[in-house]
Amino acid sequence: MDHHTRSKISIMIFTLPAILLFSVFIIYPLLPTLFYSFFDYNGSIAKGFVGIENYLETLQDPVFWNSLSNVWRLMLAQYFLGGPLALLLALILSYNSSKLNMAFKTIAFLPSILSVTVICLLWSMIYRADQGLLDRLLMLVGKEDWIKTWLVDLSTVNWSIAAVIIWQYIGFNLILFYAGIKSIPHTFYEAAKVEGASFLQVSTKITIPLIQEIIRFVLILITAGTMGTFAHIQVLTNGGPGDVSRSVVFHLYFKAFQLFDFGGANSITVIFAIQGFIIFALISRFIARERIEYT
Amino acid sequence: MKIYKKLLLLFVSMLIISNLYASGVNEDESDEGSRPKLKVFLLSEDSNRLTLHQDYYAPQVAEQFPGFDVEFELPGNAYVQKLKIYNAGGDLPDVFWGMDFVVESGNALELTDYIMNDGFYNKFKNKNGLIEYKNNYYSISPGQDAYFTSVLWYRKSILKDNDIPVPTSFEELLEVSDKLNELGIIPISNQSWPLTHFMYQDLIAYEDPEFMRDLLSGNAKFTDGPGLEAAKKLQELVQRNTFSRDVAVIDHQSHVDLFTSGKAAMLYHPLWIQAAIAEVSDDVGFIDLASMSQDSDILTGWGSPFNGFMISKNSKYKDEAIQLAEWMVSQDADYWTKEQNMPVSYDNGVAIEGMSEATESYSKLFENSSVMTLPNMTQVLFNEAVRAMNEINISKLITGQISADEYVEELQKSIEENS
Amino acid sequence: MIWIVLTSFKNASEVYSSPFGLPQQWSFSNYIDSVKILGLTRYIINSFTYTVGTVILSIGTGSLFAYAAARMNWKRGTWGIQFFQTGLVIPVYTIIISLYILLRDSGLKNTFPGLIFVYSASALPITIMIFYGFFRSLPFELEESAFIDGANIFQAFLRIILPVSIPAIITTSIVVFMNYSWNEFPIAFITIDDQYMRSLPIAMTYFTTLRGTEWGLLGATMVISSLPPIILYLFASEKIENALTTASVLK
Repeated sequence: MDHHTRSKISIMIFTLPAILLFSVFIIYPLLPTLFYSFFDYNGSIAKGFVGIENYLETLQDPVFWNSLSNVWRLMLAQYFLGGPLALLLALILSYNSSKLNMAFKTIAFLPSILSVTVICLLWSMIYRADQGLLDRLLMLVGKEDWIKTWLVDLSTVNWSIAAVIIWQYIGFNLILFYAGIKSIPHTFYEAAKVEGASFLQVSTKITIPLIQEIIRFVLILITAGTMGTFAHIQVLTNGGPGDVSRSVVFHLYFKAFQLFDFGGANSITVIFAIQGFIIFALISRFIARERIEYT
Repeated sequence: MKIYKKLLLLFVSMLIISNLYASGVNEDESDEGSRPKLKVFLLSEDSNRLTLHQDYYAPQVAEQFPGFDVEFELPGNAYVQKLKIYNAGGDLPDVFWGMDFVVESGNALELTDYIMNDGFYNKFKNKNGLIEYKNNYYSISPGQDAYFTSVLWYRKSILKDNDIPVPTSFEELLEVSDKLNELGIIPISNQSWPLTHFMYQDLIAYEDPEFMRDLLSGNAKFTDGPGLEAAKKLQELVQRNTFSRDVAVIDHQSHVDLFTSGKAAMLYHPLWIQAAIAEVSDDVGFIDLASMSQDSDILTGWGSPFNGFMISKNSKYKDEAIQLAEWMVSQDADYWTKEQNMPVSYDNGVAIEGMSEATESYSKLFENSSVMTLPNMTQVLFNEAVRAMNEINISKLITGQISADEYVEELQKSIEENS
Repeated sequence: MIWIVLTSFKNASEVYSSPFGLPQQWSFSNYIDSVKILGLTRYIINSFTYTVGTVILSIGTGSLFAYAAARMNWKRGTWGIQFFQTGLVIPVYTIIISLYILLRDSGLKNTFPGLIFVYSASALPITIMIFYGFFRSLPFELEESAFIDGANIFQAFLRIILPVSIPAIITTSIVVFMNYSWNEFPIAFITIDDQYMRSLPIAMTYFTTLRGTEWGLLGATMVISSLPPIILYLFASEKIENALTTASVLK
């Protein structure tokens, strides 16, 4: 019985390194953040204790809420467009195995490894007024009236950004789904084949339920990744026009490094972290429920 | 099992090799490290700065300063961000292009005594090239900024071929803009940078130059008459499609290309853009927006007490750093006068040949003491935070998100809160 | 998508008239130039060191922790997991200044270990979550067979659990490699002053100061810097698939 599974020392040996590493380099730098969120702090001098004023200001700031809704929009876009699309592609690819699979996967995967700056510079060229690929294409097919100033018009700016993010990571999610699908032993499919089931039936009744772990995992990756969106915003629109396309991290950055309002920025951090916590809790519960259904 | 071991082996060997190589290279460096180091942090976003580094500083610095290892850092458009970190951490490079927050946090060396004592101060023929802040000098530059003013350039051929007269008032400008739009030509190619830093001020000066003076001295508010009128004029320009539809995001190269390719009839950009539009220089005329309908000329200069080389208060080699900076100033002066044919406040003994018509006419104005020269309000009246918010608000104004009234209110509030 | 790939190859040719045409002249001069003139080798090695170090450290510490939480009789297991979950939502800009000061005061600034520690710490949450989920799905018989043979927990972990976890290790490696290390920008930008210690993305930013006219060089750099991830992916994806299939057969 006692193979050290209960031994406190062993547990400590296993857990201590990670805890140490994380605490020193993440938690410890966070403490000033929390501390200064209650002050009027400009980055070098604390000008005075202000209690929860920063928090109230943030919660009443329409720009904050707009930034938050932008982030949620991005997450929803990934949940309902990016993710499902990747899943669909993975299903199709695995269903019809051909030699093109490898090529397709590699090309789709490429964008996720290029640096964000490069991707966004390329897309800002695509979105460029008149000269950009998108406008030129539309002019070519005679749909000039569809042309907008993609990164300026309030109605298109946020979706243009969402499109870039979805595009960049679709390959990555695709790979993960594909690997998961491929790991399902063929035995599961044999019965279906005998009965002549269709692609749709096989996918929905057999494949998808069996790759729940992967789906859950991808969901978490997407959530974590999208919440931290910053570089895309900075390069594509710099939060603009005005502050319309900001993400929360961008807004935080702006407050801290442009306005020197670190107290305010820190309050945003705390509120955002709480929000993140809640979202992760919700997701975990959502997934857990599904799992119960299938066991 | 085997795969796992192979992977591990691969990873570990990569790590070892890279570390060996890395430490090997490090050793080479430490041999050279017997010379003290001077770190220089430079602006590097436009071709002027890059040429200066490439052709002037880098090749000659070893000769000029043999006792030192001078290291240049050129971070491109991330300059301000990085400088803020250096400043917050308290370990600024020895020499760097200055900004107001460095002085405000007390990390910039006061240069007054040094430049008075070593004669550097006397080398300036146009004292506007050195600007004080609270009775001290914190930065030095050749003072070419003192001659930079905003200009509305136009393509003579486009206006002539279409029988469009050169506008001499704001109303005429609007008419010209309408006509050009009918012809499918973009009236003015503009960009967020010149728009934010010059155009609004130009329009206020156009309305009432004395009012602009009062604003700068803090005796007037942006929400008062001329301030609001100017904002409304700006809004009007936008609403009449005077600028390209992507003016809020257009990048520098496209902004210039619109003008040189003839897709836009006019270009709004300060004097230094001449090098970039050189290919069409024969066809280019210029209007001064602020003085369009005045009898006398009004100039909006550029330059702030902080735009120049600053020295870190914690530098270990202050004297040498200052000498380095002064030398760099002389190099800059050479560049502007010899290569760009533009005047500088620093006297390097070079008579400028081949000044363009625009440069010449403006230089004369700057050196004419009866001409009203206004410093740039974004540099002298606004601090970093106000500037950041102003950029946001100008962007909102030109994309129709806020009205002119709201813009001036926000601006005034922002100035009052941050002073 | 395909267009993007073509473009990046095109960027590496000498001169091209329009961004959307085909290259006029394929040339490798840009590749050679970027390595020589810009000193790319150094940056590639730097990035490699940071990345490999990060992957090893984060997987090493993370898998241990996740194992303890998942399989050992650790009462505070779920607390531990939640502790790390908070890490997923901390944007780097909130700690960047404190981090800079911490690294500077501890002498770790501009060093390999310094950045590796920071990257590993930031990659720990996701690493732990991946391994935690994976370990929980393993059947108990695995360890029990080792115990029957008289092994203690450490031996069981090393000899049995780890090999079985290869798919998780590879997946995590890819995720950590890509998201937290190879292309990472903000932390590297702010904490590395020494030009010899720069990572690839930072070095590339300094190249882009050349106003877009040096697209050739930049393109070549982009391609070069994308190669390791691509190679890693190609190498790893097959392994993942094979490993995953074997894993399920084991069940």
